[in-house]
Amino acid sequence: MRPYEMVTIFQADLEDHKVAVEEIEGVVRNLGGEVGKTSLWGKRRFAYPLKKQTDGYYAVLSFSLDPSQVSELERLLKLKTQVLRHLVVSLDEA
Amino acid sequence: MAFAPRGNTNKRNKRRKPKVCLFCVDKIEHIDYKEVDKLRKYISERGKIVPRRVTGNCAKHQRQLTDAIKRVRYLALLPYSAE
Repeated sequence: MRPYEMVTIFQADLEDHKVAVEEIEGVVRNLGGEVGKTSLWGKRRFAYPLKKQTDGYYAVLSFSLDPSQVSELERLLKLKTQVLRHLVVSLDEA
Repeated sequence: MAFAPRGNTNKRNKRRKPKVCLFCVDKIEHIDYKEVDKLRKYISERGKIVPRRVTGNCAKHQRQLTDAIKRVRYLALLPYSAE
């Protein structure tokens, strides 16, 4: 298990972003991870269009996860259409 | 125009303000990419990263800064290029 931090950008026009964030937390737990603090940044305007959209909803979650499961987590996130983009950062180096 | 004599450039150098790394002054060990407003000061109008010779940052912090800016660019919070 290693500490990670992940920024996720959701579509801005979702009905409930908290549900979407909780869904991601559930994905991490299913992979055997422990979810720590989650902070919601809210809606922000993009510096350039992302998937033809001009703004998105940002959420940062920290969790610990087995390093071998990170690629699986990324694969599952790519399948979600409501997630426009995500960035996983390892916390012990950063 | 003719080249300025040597004595002149020396005088100019003396007048120039010594540059100090603002991150060292604030005793910041790691630059956090999540502080987007702080990073915004280090990009030019065109969206380029401002070089060390302009900002006066030390090598260690400039390295961290460029990595942080590149992460934030990926997150669409800072532009890769601007007009």
